[in-house]
Amino acid sequence: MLLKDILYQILESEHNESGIAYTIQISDKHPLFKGHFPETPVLPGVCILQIFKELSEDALSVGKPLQYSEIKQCKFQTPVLMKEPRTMRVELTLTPEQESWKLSATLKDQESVFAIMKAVLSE
Amino acid sequence: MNLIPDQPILTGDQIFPYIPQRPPMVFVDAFYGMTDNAIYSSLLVNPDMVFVENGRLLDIGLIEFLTQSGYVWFCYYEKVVLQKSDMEITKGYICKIKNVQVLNTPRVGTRIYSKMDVIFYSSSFCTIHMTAYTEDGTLAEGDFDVISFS
Repeated sequence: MLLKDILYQILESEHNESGIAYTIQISDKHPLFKGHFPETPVLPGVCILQIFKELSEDALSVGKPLQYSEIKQCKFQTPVLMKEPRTMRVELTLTPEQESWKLSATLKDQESVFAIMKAVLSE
Repeated sequence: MNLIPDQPILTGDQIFPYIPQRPPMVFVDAFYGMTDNAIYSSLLVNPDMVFVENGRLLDIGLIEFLTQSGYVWFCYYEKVVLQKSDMEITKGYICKIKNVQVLNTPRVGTRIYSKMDVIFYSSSFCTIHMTAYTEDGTLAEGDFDVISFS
């Protein structure tokens, strides 16, 4: 996985009625923050997409990388400022289709919702 | 058939005044301006990019390329076309993407192109339809809302 254990670590996961929820810690030390942005580090939106995808791979135990075949909609509601490490919650609902999975995903902490997405993942 | 543009008006570091990102998060290396009512940019996929894995630019790399291609135009239009010479390049980010289809991902060494059609524009927000492609066909396309903030 591209970002797991480098940009973020899984602290815990729990299954619930609607799917699986992960608590992750995002590092503020990854080199990408030197360029995004030099004076105000912000977690790139595409890294949120990658975290959703990698945690889906973990939840499904597919053993191979998944790819977005379609992103129906993703709203990035609040920038994730990265002046220090941050603990976040990722909630996933994965529904199998013929050769893909429908994914609903949310990134939040105790105060804010940062991103909400509906997408289709395939191998 | 997608147009393969030539004669960029900005390349490499010349693009830096028009995007807030800096290496290793720069995902556009040529800007061609407007041709046939669309705006074009491109990127040579190299192996050192942060979103390259197993010799291919990942889907998220394609999306970042499309986003930054849109942002180059956004700032170029403000600074050069509208001649807002005192405009500060603020931080821009994707606030919404929708109907994005990823058909293929490019290999390292491939030059990928973007075509942008502007759907809505204001000085702090724009909606654009973006297509990423190579000489061999379309890689991805979708609609992007980009917002800037101080």
